[in-house]
Formats: sequence, C-alpha cells, structure tokens
Amino acid sequence: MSNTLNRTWHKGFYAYWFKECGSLNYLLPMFIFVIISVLVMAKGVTEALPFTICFTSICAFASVSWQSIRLQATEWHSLVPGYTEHIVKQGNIIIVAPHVILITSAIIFEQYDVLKLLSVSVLIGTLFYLKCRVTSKMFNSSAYFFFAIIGFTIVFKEVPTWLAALAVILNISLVLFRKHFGTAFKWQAQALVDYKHALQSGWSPIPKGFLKGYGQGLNKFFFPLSYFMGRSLIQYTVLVLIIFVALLTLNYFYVAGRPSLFIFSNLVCILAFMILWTRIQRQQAWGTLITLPIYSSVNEAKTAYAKACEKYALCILACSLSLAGTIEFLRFDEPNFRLTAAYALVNTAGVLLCFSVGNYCKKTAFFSIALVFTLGFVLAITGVVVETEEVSTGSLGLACCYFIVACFANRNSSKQLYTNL
Amino acid sequence: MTTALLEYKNVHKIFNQNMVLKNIDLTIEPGMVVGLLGKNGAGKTTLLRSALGLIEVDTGEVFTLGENPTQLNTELKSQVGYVPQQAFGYEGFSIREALDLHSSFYSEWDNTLELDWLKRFELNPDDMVENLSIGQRQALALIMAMAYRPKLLILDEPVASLDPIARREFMLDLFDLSLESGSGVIFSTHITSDIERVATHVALVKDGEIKLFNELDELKTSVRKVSFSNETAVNLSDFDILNTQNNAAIISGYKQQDIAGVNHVSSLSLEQLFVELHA
Repeated sequence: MSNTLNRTWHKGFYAYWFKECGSLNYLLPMFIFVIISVLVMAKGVTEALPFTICFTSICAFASVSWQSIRLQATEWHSLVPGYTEHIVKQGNIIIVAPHVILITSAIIFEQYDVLKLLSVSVLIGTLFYLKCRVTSKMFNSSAYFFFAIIGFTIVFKEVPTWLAALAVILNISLVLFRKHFGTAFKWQAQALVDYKHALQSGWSPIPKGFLKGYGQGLNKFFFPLSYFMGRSLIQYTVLVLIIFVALLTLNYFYVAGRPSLFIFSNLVCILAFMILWTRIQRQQAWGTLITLPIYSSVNEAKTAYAKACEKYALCILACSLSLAGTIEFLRFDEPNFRLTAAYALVNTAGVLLCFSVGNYCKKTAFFSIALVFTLGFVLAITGVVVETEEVSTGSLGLACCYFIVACFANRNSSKQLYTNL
Repeated sequence: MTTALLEYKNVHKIFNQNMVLKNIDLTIEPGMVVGLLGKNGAGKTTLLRSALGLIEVDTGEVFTLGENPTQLNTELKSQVGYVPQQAFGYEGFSIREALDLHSSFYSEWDNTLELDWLKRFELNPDDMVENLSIGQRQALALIMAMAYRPKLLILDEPVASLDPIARREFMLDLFDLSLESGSGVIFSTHITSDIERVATHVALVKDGEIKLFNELDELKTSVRKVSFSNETAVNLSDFDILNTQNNAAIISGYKQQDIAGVNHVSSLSLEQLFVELHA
C-alpha cells in the first residue's frame, strides 16, 4: 500500500493557480505584460516601460498574495504534511520567474533604469505579500494597489539611484526578518469570509459599511445593474466622482494636463472591469431577477440590464466632458471643444465596449482573458486621442462612429447574457 | 496500558469573553468511535479544532498522538485525518486532479480504497470540485481524510450533507475501519441515529462542557429520567444530576435501585436524552 512520495514542484500547479479565477485574474495580465515589457525593452520604447514593468511586478505579487488568503481560509492545509510548503514553493516561482525575465532582458537590452524601477516595485510587492501571509484583511487594499499603479508609474519614471539602493536594502531586510510579521498562512475563520467576499465584490477598495443605507435613488436609477452589484455600485460611482473631483482640483492648482485624462480613463475602465466581475460572480441570481413583476420575460430583463449599463456610461460621458473641458480650459484659457468631445466619446465608448465583451463571457477565466485584451485596445485608442495635439473633424467623426458602434454592441450583446435558466 | 490517541486535560478556552470550552477532560483510545453530540454553538467544533492545533487552548493541555497539536511533525500529521464542516480548498481542480495532488502527500495512500469510495459516493473523477454539491464535496473530503488510513480521525459533522443511504454506508465503513486498523474516531453530529448506529462512546456537550461521556450501552442503562411530586422528599445524592426540570430530573449512575420519593423512572433514547438535557 505504501507509495513513495515523488511529487514534482509543478504537481497541481495549473489547477491551483490557473483554474482559480482569483489568481488567474492577476496571472494572465502578468504573463501578457512580461511579454510586452520584453518587447518594449527590445524596441527601446522607454516611455511605456514604467507602466509595463510595475504592472507585471504587482500582478505577480497580487496573485501570490491572493492565494495566501486562500491558504489561510483552508482549514486543513497545515495538517497535510508538505502541502503548505508545496504551494508556497509554487508561489515563489511565480514571483521570481517574471522578475528574472525582466532583469535579464534589462541587462541584455541595456535598459538599466528598469532595474531601479524593479527594485521599488518589488519592495512594495514584498511588503504587500508579507502582510497578506498573516492576515486576510489586507487583500481588499490590493485594489488600491492597482489604482496606485498609474500614479506610481508617473512618479517613478526616473527612480534615483539612492532610492533604488535603499529599496534593495529594505527588501533584503524584509525577507530576512519576514517572521516578525507574524505566523504565516495560519488558518483563520475570517479568511474564508474575506476570500468569498473579495471574490464576489471584485476587490472593492471601499470599506464594507461605506454609504450603508444611502443612495437608494441611485440604486433604483441603475436597476438591474445595482441588483447584481449591491452596494458596490454606489461605492464605485462615488469613487468615480471622488477621482473626478480630485483630478479637477489637482489641475486647478497644478497643471497636470492630459495625463490626468488618461488616468481617469484607466480608472473608469478598471471600475467597469470590477462591475463586470461582480456580475459574473452573481450570474446565478438571474433566476430571482426575472421573477420580479416588472419583467415579463428574460429578454426584457436583459434589455433593462443593457439600458442600466448605458445609464452608467452616460454618467461617465458627463464626467469625461466636464473633466476634459475644464482641464483644457485651465491650460489654454479657452475651450477645446473637439478634444473634449472626442475624449468623452472615446472614453465612454471604451466603457461600453468593456460591458459588451463582459456580456459574452460566461466563465471568469474567459472573461479575464477577454477583458485584458479589450482594456488594452480601449486604452490604446484613448491614449491616441489624449496624445493628439489638435483633433481634426475627421477624428471627431471617427470618435462618434466608435461611440455608436459601442452603444450598438452593448445593446446587442446583452441578448447573449448568460442567465443559467 | 494503551496509549491515548487524543487526550484533553482540564481544557478551557475563552472567545470574546465567553467560555466556549469548560473543564474538558476526554481521552480517546484505539478502537473507540466517539460521537460528539451537542447543539449548534455548544463548542463541538472548537473542541475538535483544538485537537488539531488550529485553535490554542487557554488553560489545560491537549495531546494529539501524544504530542502538542500545534507542534505535530510530518510523521504524526500523516496519522491524523480531518474533515472540516465546510469543505474548501480544491476549487479549480477536478476530483481526479485534487486526489492526485492530495495523495502525493501521503506515503500510505490506499488507491483501492479511494476507487471504492469514489464509486460508492458516485463521484465522477472528471467533475470539477467547485461544481460539486455540498454532499459531494463532503464525500470527497471524507475520501481525502480516510484513504491513508489515519490512526486518529477527526470529523466535524461529516455526514450531515450526505443522503441517508450514503450516510448509513459511510458510518458502517467508519466503524469497520476503526476496528480493523485500531484507529480512534471522534465525530460531531446532530443526528442521534448515526451515533446509535456506530459510536462506541458518546460525549454530550452543552455550553462548552462535556455533560456526559460514556460507552453507548452503559449510557442507555445508567441514564434515566426520574419524576417526583415533592422535590424535597427525593434524595438524588447517589447520582450525577445532568439536568433538573419541574418535578423531574435526568440522572446518570442508575443501577436499577429504588429511589425514595420517586414516582416514575423512565429510560431515554439518545434523542430523548439530548432533548431533555436541553429542556
């Protein structure tokens, strides 16, 4: 009966890391951005490097941190001899492998600034991971982490050598003294609650109790989108408004200019991603939705859902118009109608396109892959508009067409929504 | 003298200023199948988790296979099987993949037993774990905890989600396994018929305390409900009083003797005893 234990390091690797939607959601972007980073280094497009490098690094750490929450939620893991060590070894490989690729590529392509950038992003990642190993409460802040990427890459376009050296020293100290953070991967009853909540909510960065009991009017306005999202929808809406006001304020006191527009586009796309994630996690709830007397058929409920998405996109359109209009006015003391209109149309179309792609996705894994490419496409188009000095009438026309196509795609794709009925 | 597989000595545990385990003394030896019976929140799960080192007790000592459960080495861990109340951890795996990985941690994994139980529980190895029903997940967890024939098996409401046939067969297997390999089993449940079917011993837990721990047969003969019309005229000092009600008491240690002042002595089924204890 006795078996010899000949377990390879990759046993269960694919199922554990790639078939669990939480970690897959980070791993896929990580793989894609490792490739992009290497290509960008090879081509010498240094402007794009901070974003791709930080994104890769943070995705790797976030994926392993996420699984460490799962480990803390698994009651039996410490009782199975060697199980925790096996998973941690796989996690270490996930962290180390992309960084080794990036460092090697940086050396080969003589992009030495990348090494400085990596030292800082790895420090932040390590800190986050070490904290997530001992408590499940930290993971929701990973969303902040994602939001921070954009600002982070702007701030750290050029990392001073002293800061890089300090980051390396701090990182080594963190690894050496990691046990001072507490007992790693210890089972906690709360961890399963946090894991499930995070999986359903799409890692909402806003505390659970925020705006409790308020915003009923908004919930009604966005129904049935709010039916799937619960309180998260109001929270995301408020977050959009906070960022919108913050960017306006920033531009009033300090001319940050068009990068603010790109930051806003990134954020609304990430919020669209979170909205869709939550909806997919709760798609079994269609059964209850269509029993409501306000819908006479499944198709009617689906159409109502598409309309709610359009209403949400309309809010994004209004914010985009105000933001672009104000920023351009503050910069040049005169309005730039074409850019304002083009930006608002393209930004809103991007959100609608994300909703459309999400409507086709039944499984989270497929959704993650599809959305990564969609986000890339959508942000590339927005980037082109933001970077354009003078928007021509033709470009504005194209932006209009893009917007119309996105509206049509959203409405049409809603028929394909998976309802489990 | 037989070495105890699991031993609690004067164990106390406080959670949020509530004492959830009170003065627990319990010993499980090879061949014993102990049914832990108690209401929700009685402290059963805490009791079992403390035997696994998942929860540390405040005072007293717990010995699992003779060691402090928080410091079990690999060899000892390979001799403990555990099924938690909520099966979780192999999402993303098919049943085959999950068993393949899980078995790789145990040198004594019994592949034949695994296949037999997969068939018995009608589990398709290609099904994904996250798509299984609660009962099927529980069945998979049972296979994972038992296919390496552990010496000590700790089961937290293991069969609550199984259908009656699977439950009955599994409980009989559990008993056979314990007899065959000299294992000790402790399982918590609400289903008194399961205890009556397979347990050698019963531990009744109420408010974090073990009110009664005895062999099942002994318990049936020694526990009685006595009824009386005048409380002051009854002397029950020879017995352990488990609970008192209006003009009645549940006593342990009854040996067919006459009790002065008592109108009626009635025997109790396990379910009746459970209900009367909480009345």
